[in-house]
This record gives sequence, C-alpha cells and structure tokens, in this order.
Amino acid sequence: MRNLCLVVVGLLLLHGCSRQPTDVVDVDRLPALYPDYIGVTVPVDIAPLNFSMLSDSVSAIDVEVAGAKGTSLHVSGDYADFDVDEWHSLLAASRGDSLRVSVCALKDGQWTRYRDFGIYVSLDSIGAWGITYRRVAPGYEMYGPMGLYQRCLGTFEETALFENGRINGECVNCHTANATNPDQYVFHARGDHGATIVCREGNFDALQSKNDSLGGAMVYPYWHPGGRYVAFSTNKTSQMFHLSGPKRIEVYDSSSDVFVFDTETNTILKDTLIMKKYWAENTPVFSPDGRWLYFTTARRQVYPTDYDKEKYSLCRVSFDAQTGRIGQTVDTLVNAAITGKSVTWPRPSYDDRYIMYAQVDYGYFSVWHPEADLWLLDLETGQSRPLDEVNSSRAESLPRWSATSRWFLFTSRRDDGLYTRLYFASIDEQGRATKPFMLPQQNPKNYYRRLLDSYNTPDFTARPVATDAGELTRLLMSDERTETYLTIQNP
Amino acid sequence: MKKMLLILWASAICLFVGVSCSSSASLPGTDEEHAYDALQRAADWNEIVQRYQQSPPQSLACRKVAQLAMFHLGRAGREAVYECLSDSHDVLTTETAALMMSDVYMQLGFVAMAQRAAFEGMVNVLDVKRNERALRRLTETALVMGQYELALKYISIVEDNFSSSEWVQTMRPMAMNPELIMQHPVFGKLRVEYEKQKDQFFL
Repeated sequence: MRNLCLVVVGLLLLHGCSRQPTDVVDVDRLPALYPDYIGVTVPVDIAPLNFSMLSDSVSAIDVEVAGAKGTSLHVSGDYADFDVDEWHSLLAASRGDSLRVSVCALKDGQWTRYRDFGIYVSLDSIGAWGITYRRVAPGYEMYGPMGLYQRCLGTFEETALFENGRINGECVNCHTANATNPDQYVFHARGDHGATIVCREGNFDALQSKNDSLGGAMVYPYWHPGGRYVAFSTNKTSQMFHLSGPKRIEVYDSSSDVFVFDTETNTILKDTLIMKKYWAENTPVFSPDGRWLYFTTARRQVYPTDYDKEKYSLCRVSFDAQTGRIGQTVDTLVNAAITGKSVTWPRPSYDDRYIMYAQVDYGYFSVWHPEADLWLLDLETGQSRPLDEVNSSRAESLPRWSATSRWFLFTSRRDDGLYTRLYFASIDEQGRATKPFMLPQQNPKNYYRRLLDSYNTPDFTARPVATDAGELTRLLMSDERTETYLTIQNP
Repeated sequence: MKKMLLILWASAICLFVGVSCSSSASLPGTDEEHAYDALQRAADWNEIVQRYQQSPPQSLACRKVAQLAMFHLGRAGREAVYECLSDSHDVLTTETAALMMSDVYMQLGFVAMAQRAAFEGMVNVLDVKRNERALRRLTETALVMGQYELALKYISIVEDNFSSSEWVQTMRPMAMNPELIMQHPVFGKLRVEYEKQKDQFFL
C-alpha cells in the first residue's frame, strides 16, 4: 500500500512538473526570443542556435524545428538546447532551404504557441573553422584579466590563445592574421614586457614595442597578402569622459601615422606621403591583390576642444610589393568633406568587390559612438550605402570578411548598450546583407547576461591557431627583442 | 557648483549602498586605503580628519576623502569639494582607491565620474564574488543615467552571486519601471541633477 501511495504521489508530481504543452493557447504573433534568431540566415556549419524566451517569467519552452526531407528536432526545457550532432545533420539536410521553428512557452501555468518562424540555411558555407577575438572588460585606464581566444563556429568550444595572466597582467591586443590564415599573425603586448609579436609559419619574432624613430608603438595592423609586409598605424591616443549626455567617453589621437613593416628585413618603411605633419593617417589595410594600401586620414584638430571636428576620409595609394614602396598619388574614395561624416575600420572583401567600414559623426574610435553604423563601398561603382540590413541604433563596428567574401562578422553594442557582442550576416551577389545573428552559445541568455567582457578585434580563422603559449610567455618575459630599422621615403 | 548642496543629503547613499557590501579589504589596495575606505563608508568623518592631521596619507584618494571629511565637518569650504573632483585620472591608483573615489563622486552628485571610477575598480578583479560593491555601484549609476538594460544585467549578476535579496528587490523594479527611479529618495534626486548637468569633460 505504501509503495502504491509513492507511485501515485510520484505520478502526480510528474504531472505537475510536466513540461509537455497541454491546453495550449495559440497566438498570432512571433515569440520574443533571446537571441533574436527569427528570420536569420545561417551557414550550414554553424553551431546550434540555442535560445531562450526573452521574458524571465517563462518557466519552460517546447520547440520543434522542422527541416527539409522530413528531418526535425524537438527539445524542451528552460531553453532550447539542441544536440550539436543532430543540429548539424538537420542543417546539412536543409542546405539551401528553410527550417520552420515552432515555439510553445509556459508562463504562469499557461502554455502559449506562437506563430512559426523560419531560419534560412544558406548554400554558402562560412568558409572558416572559427573565429579569434580578444575578450576584455570595457574599462578605461586600468585593466585586468584579458586574453586572446579562438572559438570553433561549429560548436561552442572556446580556447585561449594567450591570456595576460602569463605576463603579469599586461595588455594584449590586436591579434591579426593574414587573410584568416592562422600561420601568420601579429599581436601586441604592452607594458614592461611589451613587444609586437610577429608569427610566420610557427616562428615568433618579438619586435621592440616602441621605436624611438617611429615616435611611438606599432598599433593597428593589416597583412599584405604576400605575407612579407604588414601595414601598421602608430597612434598617440588619449581619452576623456563626458559628465552627462549619451556618450561616456571620447577616444582620440593627438597624432597618428601609417607605415609598412617588412618582416623579412625588420625594417619600418616610412613614407612622408602617409605621414603628413598636419594629418592623422590611420587604420591601414591592403587590397586583396596587394596593389593598394587603403587608409583613413583626417586633418588634425586642436585637442581636446575640437575633437568632434576630426573627420576621416577613406583614401588609397598604390603599393609595390617588389620594392616595398608606395606610389606618389593618393586617391580619395570617401571624402569626409563631402559626407560630413568620418570613416573608420575599412575592410576590403577578399574578392576585391567591396570595402566595408564603420561610419561615425567624427573621430574613429567607433565602439564608443552609438551612431556608428556599417557602410558598404562598392568598388565597381564607387558608391557607398549604409548597411541598414544589419545596423542598429547602437554602435556597429569592426567588420571582418570571411575568406569566401560571402559572410562577414562585426561587433555591436545593440544587446545592452555597452558590452560588444559578435554578429554574423551573409551578403549576396547584389551586395544585400541578411539579418545578422548573434554568436551562438550553449545557453546564450545565461552566458551573455553574466559576461562582463566585450568582444574585441574579432576575425575569422581558416583553421585553429596553433599557438605555443609557453614559448610566447618565455619570449615576452625575456629581454629578447628584435631590433627594427628605419627607412624614409620622400624625406 | 550647485552639486555641492547634494552632499547634504547624498552622503546617505553610502549608508544606502555601502554598508551591507563586503569590505574592500580583499581588493587590491594599500592598508591606508583600506582603512580610509572603511571610515568613509562608515561616515566617520571625525576619525578621518584626526588621522589625516596626525599623519597625512600617501594615497591621493585618501587625501581626497580627508578633504570630503573636512567639508562634512564644516572645517573646509568649497575648495575642499573642488579638491575632491580634481586629479580624477591620477587618483585611480588601485581598485580600492577607485571604489572609494566612486563613493566620493556619488556623494557629490557626479554620477558619470562615479560610474567611471566603479568600472576601473571592477575590471582588475577576476573573481566576480569580490565585485559586489562595484556591481552595485554600476547598477546605481546605470539607473540614474538611464542605462536600464545594463542595470538589469548587473542586478542579475549580484542576485546570482550574493545574498542581496533586499537590494535586488529595491533595484529590479526601478530597472524594469524607470518611472520609479524618480520616487527613490536618493536616485530620484541624482537623476534630476544628472539631467540638469551641463556636459563637460573630465579625465
């Protein structure tokens, strides 16, 4: 009898805790999800788009995802948590087709079924194993634990490339690979053990962090596709804080220049054409064929009073990889004097069709500019347009192309206004972008809500980066530094 | 410098937000900073002034707190408040100094400065369980400055990591219904002052 009572009680409890939808009420509206994956386009190789209901009042959800060829997934629980292998099988079967997602949510004891929505599985693979990025708390002067990380895009696995705890907590930043090739990259370490690390096919060089003749440190890097040269800016950066209003901080350069570094001779190739006295050149990038060096430039202002008059144009100058010399003529592609706006972080697509950049009202440090939007310059027509398909009312920044040039990622503060998150979108033959989706996480609502880091300087990586963190630590903590040399053209 | 009048009532904010949080003793900082921080959180202005007069502290942040204490006791005029607001960059030498200065700025009604200092006080501490005070201050400044999504984020983290149910029950409704902020005796006034504040820059 006692056992029977236990069974009855157990069944009653089971019924009371049941998360199977019963007495469902249908509503003709879409569910409010976190992240918002409704109507997004995804590559076939992306990790499961796990999600929660946006409202914390929802105690359970029940989700059915129907793919092509009769395939489907069904999950229920606190949030939609798809099995990685089953998810990939579903997407593989649905490539070039849509998934139909049905969501039921339990709130205050009542199940509600929302209108179904679609997720389109692109024919285009993302063409990368994963991404690299820095995770860092958005502090200003002081900084704490931070690191360079890589993340597999097909799973949720993140591993550290290099964390600053190895070098007494000094800043590490600007990890930049050559066109998503993990065998060639640079990054900087600052502070007492500062250096610019150049890695070429597994061999590290630790360059002097500052070069007196350069007048500062190497800062924003971009590889020449040939793998011999790296373009850098050198910046004297300052910041000041707002006492009120919508912006927290202004970050500006009292001076900056652009130069090319020859990794074979360890020579800094300065040219006065891109180091003009009354101009601030910045954010250099090479064209995918290596024949052009793009950069931004603004007439220097009186700082800090005229900080908001600093407007960067997008320019380019030819580059000869045989001689390491730049040409004699600078072209202006986007003229700040005409647009009244400022260009920053240009990134050419690897098919040489577009340059994506962030546009702000002034300055270049777009992550602190809520008005920062992504723009797309069509190199065939010379026309630029805002990428309204992906922009939000908050800062979009740091666009990066996949090697196929059919996908791009960018940072945005749309989630909460401060912490930058990563978003991905595809772009078609006509240059139209799809609705972006947030970097998937196992339990995204829980993860992003508790994450006190921002994502910084992200990029795709074709394969995992095989960094020897121990050797890097030894090198950085030692006094071994490669001397750099200087040549000046057009002195 | 009408903000100085805020000090008459905004010092209550220390009592409101501070005393139930963990002390700064576990945070990076000097013994001197830990001692002054404890005293300013207890609003023990007499003891602060006495210590200061016996032996002026090395820490710039401690000297600022001493200025504030003298102002509280009527032993210094407006120049003491100006002194508190100066060196806003150089004063943030350690996490304890940063959180102590965040309290000072908050008392004076300079919410953006308090937020900046709280940020600096938080970023160097990996263990979120040592960050309750900074997280609370970031929540409070986010509420005053209209950053409600951020406030909710910080509230969630505090709720998950600390026994702060009373604080959470006070803060979450304001983040979800911002009109309640104006009804709060401290944050409502800080909001009014913040919105009236002319934008200027500080370092």
